[in-house]
Amino acid sequence: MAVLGLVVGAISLFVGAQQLALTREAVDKTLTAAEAARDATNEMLLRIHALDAIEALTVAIQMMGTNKDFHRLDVWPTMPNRYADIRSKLQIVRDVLVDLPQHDKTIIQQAVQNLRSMEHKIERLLAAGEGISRDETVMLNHTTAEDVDALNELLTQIKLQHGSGSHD
Amino acid sequence: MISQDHVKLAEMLAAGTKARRVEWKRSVDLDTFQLTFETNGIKLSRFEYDDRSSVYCIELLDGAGDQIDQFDSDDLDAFYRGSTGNRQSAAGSDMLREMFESARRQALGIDTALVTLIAQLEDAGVQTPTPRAIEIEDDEDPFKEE
Repeated sequence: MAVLGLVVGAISLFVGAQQLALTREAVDKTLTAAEAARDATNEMLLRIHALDAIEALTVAIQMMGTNKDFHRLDVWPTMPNRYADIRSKLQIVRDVLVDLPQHDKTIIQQAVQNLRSMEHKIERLLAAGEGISRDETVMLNHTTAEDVDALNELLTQIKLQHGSGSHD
Repeated sequence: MISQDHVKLAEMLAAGTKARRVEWKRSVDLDTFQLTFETNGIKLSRFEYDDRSSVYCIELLDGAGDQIDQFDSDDLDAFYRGSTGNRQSAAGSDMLREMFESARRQALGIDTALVTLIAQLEDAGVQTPTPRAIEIEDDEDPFKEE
């Protein structure tokens, strides 16, 4: 009778261990699935952020290109607000892509500094009732063209890195 | 009154410019050159006055390109006068003037243009002329023996 009890106990122990192993396996699977889901979500968020940055940078570059025409046409009163709008778009790129390399952040900062200088210069001249000379227009467009070239290179690089060609 | 850190920054910029460790670029403003870092910038400007004197100004910029601080060569001169006891010292002005000229040459690519032009002239067969001796008329030569 005692032997039978031992056998039953051993069987119970074995079955319990099996159930524990199965439960543990199920938990592991659930955790793995949860981690995979979290990774996928993070990846999706990064991709959305990259798309936001690509869109903001594309719009900024387009606006800067149009600025050159506006400069040639002497559309000065609207320019300070445009410069500020472009700066805020570039700020989005910087905020969203926080892991940009130092060189790329410097390109953005350079454009931001130049836009701020233009904004300040035009505001000052408008307030003083002074006109903007042809030489100054040439200088503004030269600086804008340099910044557009650098930002275009950055845009191409970001698109390649994040596998996007849909926001041209 | 500027702080020790302002002086340190100016001295580091001067040393970095001399050693070409920093890259000055043009600005949209006349006689102004700028440096750009990740989230900050620096502008160096020259202001010329009617009496032909010049003041050199360093501006510190934030991430939005706005000026957050500034100091000039007069501030630096005052600091060096106070720290050395030399009431005539123009060490700050001298330092910023030299830095401004180097920044201007770098930003405008003057040194590179000179080297390229000289090389092209040499390729075209133009020889470097030997320095000519200054011809002094006999009656103007103060060392001529009578």
